Amino acid sequence: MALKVSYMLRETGINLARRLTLTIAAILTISISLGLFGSSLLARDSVANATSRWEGGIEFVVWMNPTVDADQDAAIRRVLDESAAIESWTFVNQEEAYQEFLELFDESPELRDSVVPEDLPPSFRVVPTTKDADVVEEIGSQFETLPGVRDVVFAGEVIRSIQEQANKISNFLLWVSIALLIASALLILNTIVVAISARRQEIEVMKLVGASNWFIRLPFMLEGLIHGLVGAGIAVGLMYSLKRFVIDGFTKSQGLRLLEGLKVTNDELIYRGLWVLGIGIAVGILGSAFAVSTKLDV
Amino acid sequence: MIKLENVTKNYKSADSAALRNANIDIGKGEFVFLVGPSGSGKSTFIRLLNKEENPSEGRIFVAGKDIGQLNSWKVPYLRRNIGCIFQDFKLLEKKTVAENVAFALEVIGRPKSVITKQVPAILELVGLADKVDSFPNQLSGGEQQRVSIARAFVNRPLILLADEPTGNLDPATSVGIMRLLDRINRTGTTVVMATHDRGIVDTMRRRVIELDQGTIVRDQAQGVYE
Repeated sequence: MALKVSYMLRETGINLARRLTLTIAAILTISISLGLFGSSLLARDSVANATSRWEGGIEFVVWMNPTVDADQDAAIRRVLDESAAIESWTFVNQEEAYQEFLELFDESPELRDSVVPEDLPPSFRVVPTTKDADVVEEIGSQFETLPGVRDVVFAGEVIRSIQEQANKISNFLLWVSIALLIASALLILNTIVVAISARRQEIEVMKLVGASNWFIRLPFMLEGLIHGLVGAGIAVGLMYSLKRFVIDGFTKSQGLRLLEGLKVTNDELIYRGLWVLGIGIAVGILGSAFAVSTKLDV
Repeated sequence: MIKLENVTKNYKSADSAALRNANIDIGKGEFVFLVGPSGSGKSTFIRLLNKEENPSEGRIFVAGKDIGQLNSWKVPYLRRNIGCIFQDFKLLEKKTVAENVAFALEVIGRPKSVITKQVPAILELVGLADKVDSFPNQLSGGEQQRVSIARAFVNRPLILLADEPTGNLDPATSVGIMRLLDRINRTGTTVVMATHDRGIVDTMRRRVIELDQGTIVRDQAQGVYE
């Protein structure tokens, strides 16, 4: 068994080294495509984080005083329920607001430690029946004077515009990366086909002397897997750099207030990184498996 | 050891059958020559025994097993019991003599201790103990064929299939190769050899199966070429 493992690794290493330029081309294509794919996911995450309060068509938020009493709360709910201009609304209590706060500031422990749920205002997040900015403002402003209300904040056109533009950009990146991923899989497939062709005589001898089918196939599959894995590893490095040097820079930026909310948490980076690694492995295995099943007659 | 029951092989591209209704029984330890003109079905016969091809009709038994019933994943295990030698040697040019022979054991997962013991022993048997580190292109045709025989026999197969093993060799070298195959046969290994070499067949006087246009036209003990 030890011999088999060392044989597999040695043969895979020889395969990779013999066609170094093809190997590098395959790995670079995968890393660029997966890097773009991962970046588009991170871009979505960061915009979602910056505008999380405004997802699902929410056009304005009614912030209550933390000390709001039950009667004041019930009065707001009654107005919300009775208004024909309001499609739906959700209530975010202090505990939920605190959880949201923790998620947003998970990398700022000093800030997290200084806030308790009671400090945070509960809020009503409202989805009106119309998106017309003037009408929304008119509906929202009626809450400003109600008792217990601290403030009413509107999504505004800027937020909507950021969401729309960010979605367009990330969708574009997603499609470009999918096209590149297909190119990567084809490149892996062709690299393995070249490897099989270069070792045709060796494979013929292996078959003649009774090497098992998987023994013949595995070094080629392993080669594809390594292409995918190394390419994905580089892509994860690119994603980390994007977060560390670009997105985190927005968060700290003093001048670019609009971009301040753009952030990606470490958990999101790890989660998206695992996605990218999984896809890299899948592309590598699928590309090589297709080559092996169609070109390797065992 | 080998039994063919009404075996016919048709190729899609050919008009007539490569092998037609063949019935043969070859016992353990026999030495059998397959003779006949080019295209008579000798190579097809060999390829069927090694399950490189499947018969269109009929059944083939090797060591008592119907190889037509074997799952594809079991075929390699069948081939571990069958050594193959070819006219063009099929040696790996980038491997030394010892590495070529060791390769046959390595790829079926034999432990290193077995490989380091068996490779020198088999190279001694074929008379190439002093050529272990040579590459195939540094060897004569006869020596290359000896390496090929060493590779085919190192795993001690029950059957040795030889497709024109002396086809590229001069008569004197061919005699040396035949002596080696005879020696291997005497260890109890069944040898089936396709050949055009009249001199060898007539000298050795072993069982001769003659094929003509896919049909067995003669099966003669201690036979001659024709």
